[in-house]
Amino acid sequence: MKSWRHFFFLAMPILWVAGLHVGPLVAMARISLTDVYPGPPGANPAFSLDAYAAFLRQPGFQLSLLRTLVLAAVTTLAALILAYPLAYHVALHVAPNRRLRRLGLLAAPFWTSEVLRMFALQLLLSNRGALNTTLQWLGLTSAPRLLLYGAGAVLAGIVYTVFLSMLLPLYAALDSFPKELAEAAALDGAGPWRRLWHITLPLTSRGVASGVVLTFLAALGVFAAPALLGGPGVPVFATTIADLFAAASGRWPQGAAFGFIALAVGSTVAGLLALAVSRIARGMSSP
Amino acid sequence: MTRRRVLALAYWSVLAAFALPLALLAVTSLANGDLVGFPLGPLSLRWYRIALADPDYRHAFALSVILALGSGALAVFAGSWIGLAAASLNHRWAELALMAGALLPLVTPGIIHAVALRIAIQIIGIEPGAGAILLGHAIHATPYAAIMVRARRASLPQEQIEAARVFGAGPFAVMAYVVLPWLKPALIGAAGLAALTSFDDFIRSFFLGGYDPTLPVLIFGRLRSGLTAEINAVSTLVLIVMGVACALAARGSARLREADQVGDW
Amino acid sequence: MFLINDHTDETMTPCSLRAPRLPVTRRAILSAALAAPFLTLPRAEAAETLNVTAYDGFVPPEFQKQFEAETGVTVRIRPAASQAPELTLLTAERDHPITDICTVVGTRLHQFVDNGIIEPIDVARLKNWNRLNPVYANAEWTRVNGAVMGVPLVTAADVLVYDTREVKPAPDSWFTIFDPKYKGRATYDIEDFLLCVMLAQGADPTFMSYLKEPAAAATAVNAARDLLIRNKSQVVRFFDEGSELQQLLTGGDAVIAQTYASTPARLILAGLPFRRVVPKEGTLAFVYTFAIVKGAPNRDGAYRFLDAMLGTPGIGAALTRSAGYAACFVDAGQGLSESEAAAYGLPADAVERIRFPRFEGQALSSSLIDKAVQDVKAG
Repeated sequence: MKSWRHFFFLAMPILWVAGLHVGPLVAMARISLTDVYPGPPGANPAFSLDAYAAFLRQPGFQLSLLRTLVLAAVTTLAALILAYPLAYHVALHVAPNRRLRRLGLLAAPFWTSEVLRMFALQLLLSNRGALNTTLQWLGLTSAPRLLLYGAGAVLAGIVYTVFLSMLLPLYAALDSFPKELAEAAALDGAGPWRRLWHITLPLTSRGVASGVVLTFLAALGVFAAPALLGGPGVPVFATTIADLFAAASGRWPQGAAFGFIALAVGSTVAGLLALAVSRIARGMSSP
Repeated sequence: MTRRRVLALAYWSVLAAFALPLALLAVTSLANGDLVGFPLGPLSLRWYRIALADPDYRHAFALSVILALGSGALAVFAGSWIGLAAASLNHRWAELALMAGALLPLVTPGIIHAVALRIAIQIIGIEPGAGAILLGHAIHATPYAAIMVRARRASLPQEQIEAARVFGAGPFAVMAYVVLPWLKPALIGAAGLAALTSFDDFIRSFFLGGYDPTLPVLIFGRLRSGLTAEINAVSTLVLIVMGVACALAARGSARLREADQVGDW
Repeated sequence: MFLINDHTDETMTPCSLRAPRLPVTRRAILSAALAAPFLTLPRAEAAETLNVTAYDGFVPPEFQKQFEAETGVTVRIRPAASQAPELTLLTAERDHPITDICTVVGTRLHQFVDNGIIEPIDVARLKNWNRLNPVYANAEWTRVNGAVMGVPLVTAADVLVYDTREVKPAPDSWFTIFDPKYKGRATYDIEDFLLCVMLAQGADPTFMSYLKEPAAAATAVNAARDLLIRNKSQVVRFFDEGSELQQLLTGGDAVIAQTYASTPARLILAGLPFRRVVPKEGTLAFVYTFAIVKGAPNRDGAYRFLDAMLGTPGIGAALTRSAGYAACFVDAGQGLSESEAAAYGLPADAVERIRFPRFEGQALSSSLIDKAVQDVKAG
């Protein structure tokens, strides 16, 4: 801390984070450490670590969390691969006065609610949906092909849900990285792929890292896509937590405990991903 | 350049892929019957007439828009401040602690966060309703702004700040004339994300709301018994209205920019 | 000094005289201007309001307008889509309730009672109580320790719904879900289907016979659960809400399903080739009620509202049309067309095969069933 000015500059963020981010979770943490909640009014719930132990006791829960982490990671990678070229195009190829419009067009689907977008995907891909009907009408297939309710459909659905949290940070980074270095490299004879790999990607790595973190975390919490497009397999962890709050027997402590476990594990993995991105970027920038 | 054409093709293909499901929502809303599916049967605009005439939808839409703008602005304000504060810290662990705290709402599973906030507002003394929802949405979107501003701030070359100081700029001037303009892409991106997540948000709006539902809460309630052409019509109308609004905003922004550049020196 | 050109359209000088622009301003103004015409004026605070948390359609719009006009009370409705979020929300606001009336499903009654959310109904204050069908008004299973906990509105029964184009011959048993012909094209609501299968296997889905021996209850539940797990490949996917089932059926992804939701009636009335049947083994039905929240800010208004609802002629048909279920009133069928009555009601012989949940058995059933649902999802 350099001065009083610096102190006041830091005060508001610290108060905001402590009071509004951490604060509300304290009550939830207390609930996760009780044995039954909500109890009948006036009852005093006792301290208990059982809610956390329940996660360790049942491999089904651990499997659900693991599966969700893998799904989120794969989704993030897919979103990165899809969004980077698009962000590059809008930031570097499109005329400046058209950029916001191009971005806005891509963002437009996200004005529709997540659940409705998933229903829309069903309209497209179900047995009597638009795609199957068209294929049969064109004579390309004789019977409807099952396209939904597998891992691919869920992946597509999640990407369709979280795409913007990858696109916007990438755009912000690509819009304003120092392009002269790339131009200088071009003059020196470096081809477009070398320029991309050794200059553009490393210079935008912080944007990539924030996009990866935001998208991964968003993908961890996605509900509708796995629920509406997934098959009868293991549910994602967000569903498991919601089911615990929905359970007909008071299982709030378990729901809260699982939430904190997801929080701890999710943020650790997100942090590792961000670290990985910066390491890779460092490796790429030295040809 | 072929590379440019390939990327342009990629852009328009992805846009088409994103738009296709929505087009289906719009098309199925033109059905005369209540159900949503193919084949369509006779077409009619009656659901649009019904949707436009329903005051509940109009009110919920207006509320959602206002909350999106308000919470977006608050989130960008708070999140940017947090991001800049984190950037100004010298000790790595202090910065990490602040950013971890800032990211907390994003890492917390939705229902946990919503119920936690609901309990919290009772302790603070805020009534459930629009004000509580605004705060809840802002808290949820703050991490977006914090992380994007922090990343963007890191790429600001120190020389620019040095140069400004050499010219005699004090800390406020540096902030206003060097840092903030540099942050603009991050601010825009964060504002966009914040407004959108607020507009779409269901879980926080449900738990923090009183008896004035936002649009997602209203639609979710109506969705319970079945997807109807009326719901699709409402969604399509929202898309049209927001599209027009954004197009106007973008054009207005471009015009003002051009006007500014005339006076550039 | 090394100046970096970061924008292709403007030059960044170290001491730019351009004032920083707030990126949200113009967009905000234009969007707000566009939204303004849509803003209805702030609802004038009436002298009296009644807050109802209801499922969609459970307060018929014509009745609401009539009640508001006659009494001057403003009825405000908060939409709820299912019991779990509603219960969570009402529990969270338990200490400072803002709700007067809430929707309680018979199968979740014990949770609302145990959490102290609702209070008993003083039937003496409801002059029109006798407008209810005695089957529901006097039933044991709507009472807790003799006290009535909610006003029954509509009733829903688990049925088999199937696509007549694909499912032949017409099914008559719950076990048809497991017929290999329909592999990958069946679906059900796990929580309720477990109870249906228990019934079909000869067990007691009300759990009343297991109150003295919980071990027998566990055995019965596990038998049903294991059958579901063994036949998991029959299922295209599980659903929770009627809307999901509706799209599965109309989209052709599922051809046979178990459900209590209003989906079959909607599909049939829309003219689609679906039919619903109560299997020969019998079925379960339950009642949706309006209950009064403990500590309701406007308890008197709540009683007036409920009494008015009970007393309105033709309310049964109105409720059936807006909510999608058969009504619990004496004149439930009046005003419905023949096709509507067929779609929403049940034939007399089916009614005989119905069982209702019992409050006393719910605590035992819920803990066992919850675990079984989890096992089926994971298995």
